[in-house]
Amino acid sequence: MSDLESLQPPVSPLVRRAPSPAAAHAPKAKPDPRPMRIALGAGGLAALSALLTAIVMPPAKPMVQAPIADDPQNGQGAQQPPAGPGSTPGSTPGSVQRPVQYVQLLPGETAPPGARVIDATAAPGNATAATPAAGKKSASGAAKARPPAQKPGGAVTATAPPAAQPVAQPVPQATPQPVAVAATVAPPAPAPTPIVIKTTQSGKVVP
Amino acid sequence: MIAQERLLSPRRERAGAAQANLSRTEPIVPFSHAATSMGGRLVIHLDADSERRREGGRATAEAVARIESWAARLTRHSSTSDLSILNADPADEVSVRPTLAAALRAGRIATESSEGLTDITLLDARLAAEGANGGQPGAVPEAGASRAFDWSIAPGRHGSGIVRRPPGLRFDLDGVGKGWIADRALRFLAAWPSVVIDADGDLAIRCAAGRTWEVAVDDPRAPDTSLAVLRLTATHGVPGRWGVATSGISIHRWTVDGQARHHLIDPRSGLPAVTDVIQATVVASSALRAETLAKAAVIAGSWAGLALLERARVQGAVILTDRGDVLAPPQTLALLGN
Repeated sequence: MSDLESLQPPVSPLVRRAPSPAAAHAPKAKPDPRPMRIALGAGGLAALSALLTAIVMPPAKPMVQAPIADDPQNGQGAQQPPAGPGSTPGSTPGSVQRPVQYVQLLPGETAPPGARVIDATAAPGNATAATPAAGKKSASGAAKARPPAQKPGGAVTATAPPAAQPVAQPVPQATPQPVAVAATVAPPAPAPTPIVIKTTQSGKVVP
Repeated sequence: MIAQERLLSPRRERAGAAQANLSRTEPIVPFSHAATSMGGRLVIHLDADSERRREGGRATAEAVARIESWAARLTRHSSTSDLSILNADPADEVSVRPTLAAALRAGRIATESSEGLTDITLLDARLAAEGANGGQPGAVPEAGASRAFDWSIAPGRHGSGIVRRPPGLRFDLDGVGKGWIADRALRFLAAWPSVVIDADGDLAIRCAAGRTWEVAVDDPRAPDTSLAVLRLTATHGVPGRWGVATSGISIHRWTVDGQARHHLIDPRSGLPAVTDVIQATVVASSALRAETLAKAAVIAGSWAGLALLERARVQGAVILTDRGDVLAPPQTLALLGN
């Protein structure tokens, strides 16, 4: 036996013995899960809130370039492409959004001073006129300076008076104000008259 | 038969139109294309909304061109028409082109469905009644010697036909030709679910399910009045198909040697029909059938004509007699819009 013990290699003091199986399954200390749970919970609530907001909120209505801001004679307004949802076409960082009111005039009424005649079908339901900031003169501003014109046949419009207050750069603080009173006078379209189809003797002259 | 008071008394059409607007379904407000053809008016009515009116204009223009083409082959008023060439041919067996062959077959069917009273072989009698040839009867057959069934048409190649007839027999398609053309034009416009072809008063009508065409029956006694307003509505979810035609003796009439004549020849006598019917309007399954039976009702007279229409199972009829009576078979009530 002493011979056998002498044959075993010497054990280095740096080599550690493998732990016993009982020592390997011993409970290990875990980090505290509460901060992570709180963080995940808060994140989930935020995501849910964002989803609900996106579902419940109605889509933003597109802003329509008001025809009143367009000068039909130079045609610039007509060349404006329609705006997409959520965008404000024609608006610049230095512009003021002005709502335009369209008013239908009764037959025989005339457009008020400053109003301009437009076609009855040209008035959009939700219009916004973009007035350029101070120092900028646009076609819409030129159109506003024109006297009102009356179109034969009916349709009337409105024109926005020129912006009274100077707007300081870069962003105006003025509150939007109604710019124009548009009027539309369109005689009601006559109801189509049913054509009387008639069976007659041949040769009968039917007016 | 129903009494006159059940029908519409003569009245202004404007009032009729207003009354019709209060009825069950609104009548169609059509897109209409008017032209002159076949010696009279030609109007095509389409139930086309505003988006399809341009397309409708093209379709009706094409239909009018086709109608003109067919009419040019079938008229007796042109020496170059297929009909005139057939009539000028002395042979008793003549090959005819497809359009004339189809129209002659329709004429044969018309003669059979009218029990011989609508006869397309009476050109000479018609010309005699008009005073042509000095008023001589020419080839008019003797009384009781109708030749309505003495001819036949056999099928030829590629839709053509071979007419076999007694020597000298000549044809006049007249209203039969108009009815046939109206029906064919209706088929030409098959892409349109609601169409009316008005061939000088003879109507070929198609109506989409749930739609209504209103047709006024002209009163020949006064302008701008009507005897009745017929409402043709396609029900039961299937399209409707009708022919409405009017025939009478109050328009084409004249005097020869002091005697009143008109254009409706009774094949039994070879002379203008002696009848108490001023005008007959028939609603049937096609314009050809309606035209055929309307003419037969005038020639037959009021009572015999109503009996004939009953046997033919027409869908409706309105007959005006020289006594001022307005007569109609009972089934007409279902079509009256007032």
